[in-house]
Amino acid sequence: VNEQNQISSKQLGIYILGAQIGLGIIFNPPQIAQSTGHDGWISFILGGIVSTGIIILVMLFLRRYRDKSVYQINRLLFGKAAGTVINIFLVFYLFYLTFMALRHFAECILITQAGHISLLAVSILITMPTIYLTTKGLPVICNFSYSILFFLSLSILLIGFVAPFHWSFLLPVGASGLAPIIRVLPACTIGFIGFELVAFLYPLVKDKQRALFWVVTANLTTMLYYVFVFILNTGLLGEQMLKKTLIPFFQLPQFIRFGLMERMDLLFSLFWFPFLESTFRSYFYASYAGIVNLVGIKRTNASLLVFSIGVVLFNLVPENFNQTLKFAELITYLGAGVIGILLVSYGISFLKESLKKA
Amino acid sequence: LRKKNVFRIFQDHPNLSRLRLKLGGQLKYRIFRTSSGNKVVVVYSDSNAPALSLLFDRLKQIVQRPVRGIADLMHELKDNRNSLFPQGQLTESMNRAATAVNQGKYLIMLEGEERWLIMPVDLFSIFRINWFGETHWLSFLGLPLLGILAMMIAAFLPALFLVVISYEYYLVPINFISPLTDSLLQMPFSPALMTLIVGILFDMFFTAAFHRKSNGKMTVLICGGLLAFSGAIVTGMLNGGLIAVYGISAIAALVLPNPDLTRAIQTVKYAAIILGAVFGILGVVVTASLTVAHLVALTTLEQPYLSIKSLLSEEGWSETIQTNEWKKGDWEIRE
Repeated sequence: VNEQNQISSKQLGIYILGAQIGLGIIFNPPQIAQSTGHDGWISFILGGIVSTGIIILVMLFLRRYRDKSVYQINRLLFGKAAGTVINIFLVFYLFYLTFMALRHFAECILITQAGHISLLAVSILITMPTIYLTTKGLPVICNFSYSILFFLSLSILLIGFVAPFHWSFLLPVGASGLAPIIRVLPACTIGFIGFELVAFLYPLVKDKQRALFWVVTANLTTMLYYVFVFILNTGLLGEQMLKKTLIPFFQLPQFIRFGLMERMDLLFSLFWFPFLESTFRSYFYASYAGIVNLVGIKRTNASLLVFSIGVVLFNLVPENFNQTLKFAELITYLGAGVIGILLVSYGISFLKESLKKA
Repeated sequence: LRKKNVFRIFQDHPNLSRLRLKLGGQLKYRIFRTSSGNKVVVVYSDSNAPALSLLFDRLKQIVQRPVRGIADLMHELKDNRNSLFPQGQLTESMNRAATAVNQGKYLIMLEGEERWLIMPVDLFSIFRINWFGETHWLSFLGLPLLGILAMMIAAFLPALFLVVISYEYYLVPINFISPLTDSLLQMPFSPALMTLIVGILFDMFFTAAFHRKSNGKMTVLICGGLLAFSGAIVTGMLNGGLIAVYGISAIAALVLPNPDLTRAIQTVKYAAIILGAVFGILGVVVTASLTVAHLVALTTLEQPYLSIKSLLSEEGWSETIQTNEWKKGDWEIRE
């Protein structure tokens, strides 16, 4: 364990929050609204509760192996060969999410702002701050996320207070019935993805007894954000408009009159760039650390550069945005797989213990 | 004469005890002797404050060699010597020094130097000083906010103007933007190059203003500036909008209380202009993002440089307001 990369449990919570908020909040609400209508916020509350349950299980599992990373635990539980295969899957998952986060982020920019530059240029530009922060270590990444979260979460609250909001768009509560709400529950729970990163960072946490509290707090904060954004989207756009909009979040500022600035929505999406980047930043660090761990090389600037070039190149693979969305469908299955592996490992660890005692 | 008086505070025991009285008996100091014979004094109010032992360790190393001056001392004490952002505050003002000590900072003095060094600083503490000897608490809250706003304007206004007129012209109404773009068409170079050229012209002015030795020179500077720029606008050599934007940004840069911070912000300004000219508004955002990343990674005496904690800490704000009381009293050096 590298001394320089040790973080407090509060910083861990912020890291997780940064990974959760960001891209999910922008792309998820219309997809959920497709089946639940204006009742999507109930699904998000249920999803938050389910994911909190999963977090508690994962954290209890990690507590059993205090100073071991998830890669070491896998080798211990499944043996060397099977453990390595599972580790390769975990690193693949992290890498997949890294370049998908980068691509979604880049597409957001290309759609809303910078139609005049190429995808490659945008990708390189938006990767630069992340590379700089990664060279400075994990605590700096967490502090950066904290500063960004603090300043930018104010802007969304502002819209909630200023914009003309229709409560009637949200009524009657529960019109869609229970069945659709339950049906989208898996998708909602996967929307909270980012909390599984705790398995990769847990050995780096200094005060482990507070870690559970902060990670659960982060998850519940994400839940509140989801509910707030969904209600805001529905109350401003209306159910039908929400279903048809790709990125409803960036349309919200159109409802505010701001003097000379006619296109406040563009400026708003601009303020959100560092926020969107936080998902990418969290996964970037985790997958870089994972690959370095798996291959067994030292963390140098050269290896970081090679890794960054790899991420940018893979990010160019989908030909257009529709294909990117197709690629993103895999994330659901991969995420479910990773959560499944963590929970199964928890079960196996109990089984091994009871076998030892017998 | 003044040099002697400033240092006398640490040799004259009546003054030191008076200082102690004002600080509730909390004032402590430690003296180091440099190899060249002059003394370095560290004044602090809280001996449990973080980084104090680190500061002492570093000073012990530094005083082995002759210390050429207080700026040299500050450079030696820096965590990151390549960073443009100020990692210590040099001041001649007794009031500012008193405010800093009461905020839990260390005051470092070198024998024979007028300026006092305040360390460690963070980005917000640079603004939370005693600016001009204000007496009302509202000024203590308002001036730092004004300073932070000025910092953002000085860094990003020219780049945003360039981006709006060359890429994102639909951000503002056509009636507003058309007079600007019409005169831009007559200019000899592209908008990006003109923005850079006018920026350099303004920085020349800015630097010249710092050399003001006599009223005569200042008069020439002001008249020359007015004539040159108005002539350039009238003949269509330069865009009026560009001049207005740079005028605002130059004033904003002068608002900043630390000259090192002004230089750093000017550098960020050029980076934002160049990236903005190439990549549009995304370039400006990336510049801002990289700057914030650098500030988050930066430390002074291993204390974080950009911390929300320091901005929100009630202690810091109330201390800033309370120090208001002392400067009315015996803080001034008596001849």
